[in-house]
Amino acid sequence: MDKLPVKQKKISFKGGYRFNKFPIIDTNLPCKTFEPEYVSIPLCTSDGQQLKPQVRQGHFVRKGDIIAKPSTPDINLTPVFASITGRIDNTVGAPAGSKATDTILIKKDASTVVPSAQNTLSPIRQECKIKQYLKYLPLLCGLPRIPSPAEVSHIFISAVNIQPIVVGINAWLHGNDQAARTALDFLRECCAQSHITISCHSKEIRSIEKFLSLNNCKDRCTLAVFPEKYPSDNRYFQIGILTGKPVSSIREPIDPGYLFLDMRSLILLGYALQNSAPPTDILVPVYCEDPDMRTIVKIPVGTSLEQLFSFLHIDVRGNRVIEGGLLTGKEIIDPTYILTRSTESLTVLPEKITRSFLWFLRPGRNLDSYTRCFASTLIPSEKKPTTGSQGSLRACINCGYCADVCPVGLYPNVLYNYATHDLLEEAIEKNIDRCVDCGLCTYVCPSKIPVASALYNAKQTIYTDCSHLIHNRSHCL
Amino acid sequence: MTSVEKIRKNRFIAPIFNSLESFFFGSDESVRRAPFIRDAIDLKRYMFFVIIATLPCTLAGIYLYGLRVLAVIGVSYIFGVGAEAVFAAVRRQDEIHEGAFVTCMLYALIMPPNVPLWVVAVGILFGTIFGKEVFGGTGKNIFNPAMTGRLFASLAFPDLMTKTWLLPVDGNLAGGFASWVSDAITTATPMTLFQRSGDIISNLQLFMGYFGGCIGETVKPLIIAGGLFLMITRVANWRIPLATIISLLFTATILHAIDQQAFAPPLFHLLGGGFLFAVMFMVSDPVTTPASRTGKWLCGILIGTLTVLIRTFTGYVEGIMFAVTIANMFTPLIDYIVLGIKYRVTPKGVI
Repeated sequence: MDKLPVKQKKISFKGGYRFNKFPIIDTNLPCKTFEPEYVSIPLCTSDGQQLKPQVRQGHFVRKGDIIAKPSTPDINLTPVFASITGRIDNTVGAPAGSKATDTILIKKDASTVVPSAQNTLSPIRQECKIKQYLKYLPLLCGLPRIPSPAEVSHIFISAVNIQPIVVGINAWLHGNDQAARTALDFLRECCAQSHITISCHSKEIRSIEKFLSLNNCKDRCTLAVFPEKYPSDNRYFQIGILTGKPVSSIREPIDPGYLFLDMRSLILLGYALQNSAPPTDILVPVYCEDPDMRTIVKIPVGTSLEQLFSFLHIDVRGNRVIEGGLLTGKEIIDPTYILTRSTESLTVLPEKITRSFLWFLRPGRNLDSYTRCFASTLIPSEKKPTTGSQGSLRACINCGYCADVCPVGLYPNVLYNYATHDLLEEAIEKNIDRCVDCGLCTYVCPSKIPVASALYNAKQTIYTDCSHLIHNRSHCL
Repeated sequence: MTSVEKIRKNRFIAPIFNSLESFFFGSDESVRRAPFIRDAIDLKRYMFFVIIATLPCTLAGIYLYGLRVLAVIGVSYIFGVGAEAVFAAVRRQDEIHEGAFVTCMLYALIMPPNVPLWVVAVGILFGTIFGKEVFGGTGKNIFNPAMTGRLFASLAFPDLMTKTWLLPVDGNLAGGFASWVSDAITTATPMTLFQRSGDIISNLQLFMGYFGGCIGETVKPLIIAGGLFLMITRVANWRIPLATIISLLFTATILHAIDQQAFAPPLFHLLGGGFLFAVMFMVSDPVTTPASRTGKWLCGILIGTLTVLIRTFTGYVEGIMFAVTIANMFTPLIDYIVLGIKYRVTPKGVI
C-alpha cells in the first residue's frame, strides 16, 4: 500500500502570474524559537468580538490557561489562552490598529514557587481529549464556528506558497515535520468521512509525497498539483478550483464543511496536540534583504514586533515592515504592534527609490514585468523587491493586462469603472464578488491604478449595504 | 520658498517642469498600500516602445522621401505636445501624459511627405483637441486622435492631401538622407491607380513599398516587424490586428471571386494603402478598442470588413481611416453587448 503513488490531480487555470526569480525562504535550519519576557494578548476573536478577562492583576497563569472568555456563553467562540507561563501584570488598552480594545500583559515568571490554588486557574490540558481539539480549528483556519466531525466533507491542506517571496515547503517542514504528521493523523482520525486534498505546486511534489509516505496517509489523500502561478495559495481561489464552484468572497463565511488549513496552521495544530495544550504559538516566516537573516520563527501570540526584531537583530530603519504577503498584506508602522494568529508573515522591504537619468530606457535585468519590455525577459536574474511605485498614476488605457492575469476571469478594468462610479449593481452583475483579492490587477497596471483596493472597497459596501443582491446567486458557495 | 518650489506651484509651468523631471529622472513615489511591489512597466516605457516600433518606418520614410519628413514630425510634435501641455495646465494635471508623444509620431507617419507644414499643424491640433482632449485626455478618448487628425486633414484639404505624391528619392545609396525632399512627383498611389484604370502593381513591389505614399506606410516588412515587436512585448494585443487582417482577406476574397476585374484581389487590399500600418499601430490602440476579448475580435472583423467595403464601393480609395473611426464609435456598444451576454442572468444564476 505504501508503495502506491499518491493520487494526483493536475490543476491548470487561466490567468495568474508567475513571479520568476524572486527570493525564496528555503532554509535547511530548523525554525527558531523565541520566548519573550512579556506578551500583550489582545482580548478579542479574529473577527473582532471583544472577550471578557477571566484573570486579575497578580494571577499566575500557565501557558494554555484561559485568560478571557466571551461575555455571553457562545460555544462557537473560542476563549483566549495565555501564551507564556507568567504573572498577569495588568490589563491595558490595546495599541492603535488592533481590533481589541484591551490587552492583557503577561510577564514571564521564572520563579519555581508553586502558586497557591486560589491564584491558579484550572489547567485546560487536563480536560483535553483529542477530539476536543476541533474547537481550536476556528482559531487556526478562520472558520466561523466549531465544525462537527460529521459535517466536514473535505479537508484542504495547502502547501502552496506562490507569493513573490516564497517560503519553500522544506522550510516549513524542516524541524516541524513531526508536528505536521501528528496533525494530519488527528484530522484523519477525527473526520473519518472526509476526503483530504493536499495542494502543492509542481516543484514540491517529492517533498510532499515523502511527507505523506512517512505518514502512511496515501489512501485517503489526493495531491492537487497547482502550477507555479500566483495566486495558487489564495484560500478562496483554491477552494473554488478544487470544488469546481466559484467562491463568493463577499458572502462570508465559507461552508464549514470545507476545512481549509495551510501548512503553518497544520504544524501549529500538531504542536498543540503534541503538548496537549491549546495552540498558543505562531509560526512566522521573516524575510529581509540579507539572505542570512531570513528565517521562520516560532513565537507566542502577543509578542510585539520590536521584541521579535530585537531577537532576530533586524534593523528596520530605512525599511518598511509588511505583515502578510507583499501583494495582500498591510504596513506596520507602530513598533509595539502585537503579532497574533493573523500574522502570516513579516517582510522587511527596503525603501529604495533609485532615480537615474533616462530611467525608462534602462534595460531592466532585475525588474519584473508582465510585459516583455525589459531585459529580464531574455536574461532573468534575481529580483530585489522594493517599495518604489515604478511610475506615476495615469488614467486607465484599457491595456487589458489586469484581465489577462485575473485568475477568476474578471475584467478588473471594467469593474474599476463601476466601483469608482458607484454602479454597484452593475458590478454585481459582472461578478465582482468572485474577486479573490489577490492584488494582481494592481500589480500589473502600467497606469499604477489601485484597482484591487477600489474593488475591495466596493465589495465592502456591497456586503454592508446590498448583500441581498448577491444572495440570489445560488451557484456560489 | 525655493525657485523649484515656485515652479512646482505654478499652474502653467508645473506640468512641463514635472514632465521633464519625471521624463529624465523617473518617479520618486513609493507605494502606500498593498500590493507593496509593482510591475516595472509604466506608461512612459509603454509608449516609448510604440515609438521604438515606429522608428524603422520613420527611417524608411526619410530614406524614401527626404529629410523634410523630419520637419513634418517636428511640426507634429510642437503643435501636438503644445496642445497637450495647454490642456494639462488648464486641467491642473501634474504632468503631460505620454500618449501625446505616440499620437504625434503616428500622425506624422500617416501624412503625405509633401504636405504643407501648416496642414500638419492644423490636423494634429484638431486630432489632439477634438479627438482626445475634449473627452478628458489620454485614456478617456473615444477616437484615435492621430486618425481623427488625419481624417480631418483629408476632408478639409483634399487637394493638398491627395492630389500629388512624392516618388522615392532616386540616385544614390544615401537616398533621402542626402536630400531635403524628393523631386519626383506622381499623381497616383497604387490604390488610386487601381481605382482609375484597374491596373495593379505586383505584390512584391507593394510589399517592398518603393512607390509614392504616406511617410511611414509604404515599406511593409518594417511595419510588420514593428507590429510583431509590439505584440511580442505585449504592448499591443494580437487579437484585433489578427481579426482585422483575417476579415479583410475574407471579405476581399469573396468580392474578388464574384468579379475578378471589378474587385481587387485580397493581397492587394492587404498590402495596398495604409492598411497594414493602421492595423499594426492604430487598430491595436487599446484605449479606443473594446476591453473584452470577444469584443476585440468583433471590432477587428468590423474594421477589416468596412475597409474593403469602403475601398470598393465608395469614392474613397483608402477605407481604413473611416473604418477605424467608425469602429471606435462602436467600441462602447460592442463591450456592452459582449459583457452583457457573458454575464447574462439565467434562472440558474449568472453564468
